[in-house]
Amino acid sequence: MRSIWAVTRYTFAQCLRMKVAGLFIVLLAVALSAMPFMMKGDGTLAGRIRTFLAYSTSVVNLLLSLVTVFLAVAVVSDDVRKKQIFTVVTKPLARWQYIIGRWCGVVLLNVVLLAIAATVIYAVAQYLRSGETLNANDRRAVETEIFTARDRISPTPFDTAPFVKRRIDRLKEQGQYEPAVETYMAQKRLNHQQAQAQLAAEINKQITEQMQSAGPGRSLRWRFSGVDTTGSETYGKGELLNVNHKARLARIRTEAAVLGRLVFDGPVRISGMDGRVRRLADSSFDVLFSQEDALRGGFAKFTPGRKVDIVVDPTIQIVYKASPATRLPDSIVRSAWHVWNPTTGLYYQDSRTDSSKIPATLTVSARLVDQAGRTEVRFINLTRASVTILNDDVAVLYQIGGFEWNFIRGVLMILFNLIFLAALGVFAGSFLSFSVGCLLVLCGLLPFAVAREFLIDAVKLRAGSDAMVWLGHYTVKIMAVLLPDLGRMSPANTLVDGMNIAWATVGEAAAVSIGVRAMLILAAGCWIFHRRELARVQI
Amino acid sequence: MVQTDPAVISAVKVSKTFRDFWLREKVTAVQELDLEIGANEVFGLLGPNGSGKTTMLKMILGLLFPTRGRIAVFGRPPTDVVVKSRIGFLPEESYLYPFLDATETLDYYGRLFRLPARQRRRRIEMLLDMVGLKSVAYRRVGEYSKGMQRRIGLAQALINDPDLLILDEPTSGLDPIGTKQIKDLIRTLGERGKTVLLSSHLLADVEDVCDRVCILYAGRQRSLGKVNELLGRQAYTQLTTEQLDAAMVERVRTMLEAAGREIIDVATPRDKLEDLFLRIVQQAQEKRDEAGGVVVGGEVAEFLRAGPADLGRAVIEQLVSAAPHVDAPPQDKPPAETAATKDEPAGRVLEELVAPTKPDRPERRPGRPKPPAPRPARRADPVDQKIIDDLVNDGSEAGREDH
Repeated sequence: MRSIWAVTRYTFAQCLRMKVAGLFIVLLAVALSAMPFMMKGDGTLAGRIRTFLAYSTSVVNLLLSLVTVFLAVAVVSDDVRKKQIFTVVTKPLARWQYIIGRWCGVVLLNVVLLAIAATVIYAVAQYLRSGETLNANDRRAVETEIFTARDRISPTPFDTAPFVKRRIDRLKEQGQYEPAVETYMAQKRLNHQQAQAQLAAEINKQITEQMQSAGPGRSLRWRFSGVDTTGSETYGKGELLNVNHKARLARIRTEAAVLGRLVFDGPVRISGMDGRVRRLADSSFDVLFSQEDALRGGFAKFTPGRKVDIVVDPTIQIVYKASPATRLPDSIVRSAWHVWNPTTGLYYQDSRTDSSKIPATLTVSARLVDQAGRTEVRFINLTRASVTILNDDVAVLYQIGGFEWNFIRGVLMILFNLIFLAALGVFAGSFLSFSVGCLLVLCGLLPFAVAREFLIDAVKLRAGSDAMVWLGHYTVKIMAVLLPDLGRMSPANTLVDGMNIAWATVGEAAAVSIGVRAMLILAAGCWIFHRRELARVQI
Repeated sequence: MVQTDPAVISAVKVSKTFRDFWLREKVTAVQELDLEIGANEVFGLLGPNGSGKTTMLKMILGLLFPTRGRIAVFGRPPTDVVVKSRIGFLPEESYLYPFLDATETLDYYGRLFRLPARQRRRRIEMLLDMVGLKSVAYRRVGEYSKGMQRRIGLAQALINDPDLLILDEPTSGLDPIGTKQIKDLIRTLGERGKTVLLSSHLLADVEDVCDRVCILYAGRQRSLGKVNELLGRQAYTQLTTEQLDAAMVERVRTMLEAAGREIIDVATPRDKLEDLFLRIVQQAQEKRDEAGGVVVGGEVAEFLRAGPADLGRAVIEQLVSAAPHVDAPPQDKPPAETAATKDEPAGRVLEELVAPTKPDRPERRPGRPKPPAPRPARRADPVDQKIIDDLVNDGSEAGREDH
């Protein structure tokens, strides 16, 4: 361990003293400091922050990946080329210890550089967050769609079986079933049973499509279950600006983090009294207190300037993408939405105008979810065209954690990626020169980072595949095990959407990326290095 | 640790063939070489450039693997980690990390030997003192001259107080002072019972320090034996007297002719240029002239001088070092003398220290006689030349008996 630590320590020092690490810091500083001002997004603060988060995490990921690959290949291959390895491996240091030490050194550098980069990104994001928003919706988007960690629940799938059965029965009644089956048998050369299955599948597809489209004035309905919002209340402080005792209204100034979580008509507790949100402005909101609470006397003591505690109930968000069947003149989908708690019957309705085919978010109070985690949603099409909302395009999102820990998990994902790359670089350096090693890593990685699915699909084994396809199939299969899906490992999109990165995902990434892939590759590197004649001249 | 196993390095029929990418044989660097180097021996591998010396050393160090044959170091394979903790190695060029300074370099290698922090610090200080780089200890090694890098290279090879020191062309790139220091060091280590294996084509250096030599040419062993036996010319006797005039020489000649002997040569002995150089530098130093980069190195580091008598010292060293400046145990030299002898030339100090320690190696020549004894006239050269001539000409067994 002590020898490995010595190599690690001096590798770290080496990397810091090589200009590459310094250059990275300069590039990062330039990129990050210029970005928030260069990019305006769609004019909203949420858009700016999203753009910033997406670009900065991607830039950091890419820059650090390149630095890692180059450094990891260099630290081993340069030692061999410049023969410093002679004085190192003639010390009581096993060659695997040297390789592991080098790897750990690069990883240590990554940890430090990534920590710096992440701190900067976080600080800039928080600075942007404190900026001016366009309107209350913008603020809400910033607070509840970016600076949060949300989970996603898809609607309970439709049970199409009874509809399929009914349709088939009707066909049979009309005497059209057998002719249809025979047509399938003739067209696709199937036996009777296969043709029946094919027909049923076709009917199922049609029904599913029908169930995801609503004609003018018709509605779509979804059920969600498993929504768990316990413990996601937002706590904050505010100051009374104005109190109207007669109207039971109070205007309260508060911080952006609280304002962003308020929804119109949503429940809010002010110093223990229940109220409903009436007006949302940039730095304040109005609360209408219930008659009961207003009479109880607490409200009577409210005077302007008094400090109050604010508790905002959790909210849930319904995200959807509506696609009209025909082109609408203004490309706007008008709709009414109903959300209700199936147990208490608490009901919410809203009318919406959304751009067609653009994801939209409807934020509602989590009181619309019952104790079992169920809620129901209805969409009523108010346009003149038929509108489709695919089952995959509608979901309930709800907060399950804070942005900070989610951001840390995202950074960890990047780190695991870098740890793997460091292993790959050290492996390449263990038997190749610097330039060839870098080429191998980049060429080996790129196809899998860019077109993984395509590659896997292209060499799928089919009946009658020849030897070349077999070879390709197994090569790609082995590579797919060894090389990670870099796109999937990147947390940029997840963070930008304010989606939760589960610890389980992080753990799985650690286990697969480091525990399996990096270890396999390092073991191969150690083995090659152990077998290698280090004094042999290498070109 | 003193090795009791007689064979520190044993190589049996070792061959090394370099192949190209298509596995075609290109060069046979070493052929069927047998080597047995015992503990307590200073062994020289000699040969012209490209004769396989460095290849052999690299195989002994596990940097190359023999194509055929077997090599054992301390009875184990050369790649064994335990073996390496007892070896110090100075490559033909000092391959150092240019971004580290001298202290960091030594610290790095000290850590690889798992030396405890306190011992590491002490040894680094002593070694830097010894190789004369204390004043530039915090400059990046990349800025050093070749000779200075060589000195750091030597220091790193000694940081573990090795039982086996392997030196590849140890004096290349060094000034005569450095060369002399290395030679003094090799002698000191030899007297302490360490094994030293060095390769060189500088014959004078080898002659001065080695007990045994092996002469390689084209990868084959051409000659192997004790330096004294190989070079001693038993058929001749050399007298050195105060200056004689021609008449006196004639009288001696007559006297010898009467005894049936003949004078072959009469000459005035000359000093070696090396001795002259060292004397001049020594005088300059006594006048305290400032030197630019390297300060003429101090004496051999204390931990390298410790004789076999005080074996436990390696262990005690750390404990003792807790109290500052309890440097020398009484049997080495009394503390009072330390100050007095500090400015003396390294050789003399060394001589005093070394003289009483090793009674079991009487045949070793002393370091440097006090009044520099007149060297034999350069007549010794033809012997060296003969060996080289022989092996260059036909590669047959060079004169092992005929001198």
